[in-house]
Formats: sequence, C-alpha cells, structure tokens
Amino acid sequence: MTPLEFVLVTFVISIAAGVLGAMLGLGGGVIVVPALTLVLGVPISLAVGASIISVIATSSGAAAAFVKDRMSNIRVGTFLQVTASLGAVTGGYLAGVIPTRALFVIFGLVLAYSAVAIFRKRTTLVQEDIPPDRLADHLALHDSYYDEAAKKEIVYKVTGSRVGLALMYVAGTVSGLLGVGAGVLKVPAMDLAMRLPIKVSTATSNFMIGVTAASSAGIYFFRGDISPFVAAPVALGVLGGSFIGSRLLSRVHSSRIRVAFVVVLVWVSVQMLIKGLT
Amino acid sequence: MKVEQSPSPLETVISVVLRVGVIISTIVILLGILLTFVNNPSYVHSGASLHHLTKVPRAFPHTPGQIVSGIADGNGPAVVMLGLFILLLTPVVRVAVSVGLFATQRPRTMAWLAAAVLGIVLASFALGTAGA
Repeated sequence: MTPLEFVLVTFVISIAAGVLGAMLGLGGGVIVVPALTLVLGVPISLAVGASIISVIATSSGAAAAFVKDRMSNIRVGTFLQVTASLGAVTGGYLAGVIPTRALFVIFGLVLAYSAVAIFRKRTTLVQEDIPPDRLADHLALHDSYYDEAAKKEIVYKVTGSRVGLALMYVAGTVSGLLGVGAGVLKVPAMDLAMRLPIKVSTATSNFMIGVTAASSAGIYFFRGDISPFVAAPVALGVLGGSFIGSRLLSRVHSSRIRVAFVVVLVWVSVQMLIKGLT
Repeated sequence: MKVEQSPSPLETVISVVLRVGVIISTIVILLGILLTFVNNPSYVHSGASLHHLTKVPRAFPHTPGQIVSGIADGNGPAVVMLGLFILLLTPVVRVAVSVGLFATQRPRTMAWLAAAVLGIVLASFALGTAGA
C-alpha cells in the first residue's frame, strides 16, 4: 500500500465514523480504532491519538450545526460539562492505580443494561409524567427543537439534573480511566435519568465530548501519539462525515436513532467484556 | 403554544466559533497534506515509506519547536500538525466564548458554570502538556 492509498482508505473509513458519531453522540472511536489497528496495522498508541482527534472533529463539526438547529441544549451541556470534566481529570489520575480489568467487566455490564433499558423505553416523542426539578427550572434548562422527521416543534422539560450531574462524573472518570469514548455513557445518562428526547441527548453529547477530549489531547499531541499522516485523513473524513450526519439527524425518526444506538452499545459492551475477561 | 423558532444570539455565536475553527483547521490540514505529497512524489506510487509514516510513533514533528521550525521550512507534516492543533483548540475557545455570552444572561449561575469548565479544561490541558 502506498502512502496515498493509506490516506484515501483512512479518509473514507473516517467519513463513516463521522456520520455515525454525529448522529449517535459518539466520537467515532468505535470505528476508527478497530479500523486503523486491525485493517491498516497502525500501532494502538497512534490509533488512540487519531481517535482523540476524531472525537474533537465530530464534536466541533456536528455541534456547529446542532447548536444552530437548537438540537444541542447548550445550557444542559455546559451544566453537565462541569462534573464530566472533573471526572475526566479524576480518571486520568486514577489510571494505573485501579485495576482496569474488573472495571472493563463492570462497565461492560452497565452498557449492556443501558442497551436493554433504552431499547425498552417507549419510543414516544411526548414526555409523560416528568417529575418537577427546581434546579432545572432555576437554570432555565427546558427547551424545544424542531424535528423534521415528526414535522413539528418538540417542547421538552429537563428533570433529574442532580442525578445527571453525578452520572456525568462517573462517565467522565470512566472515559479518563479506560479510554472509552464518553458518549456511550453520556447519552444513556441524559436519555434515562434526565428524560431528554433521544436526538437532544445525542446532539448534546456531541456538544460536550469535544471539550473533554480537548483537555486530554494536549498530552497525546506533544508526546508524539498524534501522527500527522494518520490523524490528517481521520480529521478531514470525520469532519465531512459529521457534516452529513448532522444534516441527517433531524430527518431520521427517533426510533431508528434509538435502535442504532442500542446496537452500538451492545457492540462496545461486548468489546469491554472481552477485554476484561480474557 | 408559542415557541422560539430561531436560534438565540448565544447559539448563533457559538455555532460561528465552531464553524470558523473547523474551516481554518480543514484548510491548514489540506495544505499540509498537499505539501507532503508535492515534496515527496514517491508517496503516490511507492509503498516503501508507509511503515515509517504510519507505524512508528514519534517519527514526526510533535514538539512545539519541531513544528514551528518545520512550518518555516515548508514541511508538510508540520503544517498538518498546526492544523490539528487549531482543531484541538476549537472546543476550548468555544467554552471561553460561552463564558462571556452567559454573563449577559440570567441566571448568572450559567456563566459561573461555564467559567468552572474553562478552568478545569485549561488546568488539565496545562498539566497534561507539562507531563508529556
């Protein structure tokens, strides 16, 4: 394979990662890392470095559109980012102290549970029986967005803001500790605990993950884990893909987003269980 | 029910900041890739250098000094690294801008939350970079 072919193949794979990541609130690492290591033979350190770039690219590319479409709730995102960032710092410090094998198993099971819970949740766009949340009222977190698939403005309320904050701390810690993209944990937290519509959950997760990734990216960058030859086609492909994905999200029915997210959760859950048990 | 249909000024400014960061970094990265292939025509038809380019960690400019001097020499990979660094700074700049925007809104708590996020991000960025 010539370097030109390598760049083109990586670019095409990264477009797919960007589309999927933008729609599901993930960084695209679930596609980029296995593709680079297994298919293209890139060492894991450079694949992880490219994956960090992929997270930032998906987040910035998609969030630019989502924020303008009011799909990302920037108040919720900023509120939850406080504990998510603190968690990421904690995770970075705990890495190497805590035995990760057991953690892989625990979080593999947590993701499997989330997959079942999200799959069973009724796919209605109308929220029912939302418990009042005075903190969410005070911070004016409630909002609305226009859903192109449903062809109407979806007005939603935010609840469980304190539980959400706590879960984001856990999600941030896990992402710092295990190098698992935090999107797979952030989306279930917003969907299940805070009862946000699934599209708002994935778009707000997208808005957040770039910030968390950027804060840890400096270390990868200056340590030499971000190879320009690997990361450049990843960045460009993911940016293009996230642009496409951000256009598609509003048009695709929420039930399909939910099913696609469940599939990815099961996939990541299995990967984590294998890592922890073998 | 009356609903706000258009993005607020806050959302518009944040969206523009993200767009500008993404566009600038895309142009710089593209330029870096072009320079790389123009300076090394063999990359198009020979696979001899692939191992060195994509399979050896740290075999490319990655310290601030290497990147700056590489850009001065018109070194493609160094230009790519500059583009990647701009991409990396985009979310950080976005948070910094949101602090100022939230400060004009009620409740002020949002501005403090955004400032706390910025503080944590800058601290972990500085700590991580110093340790690298």
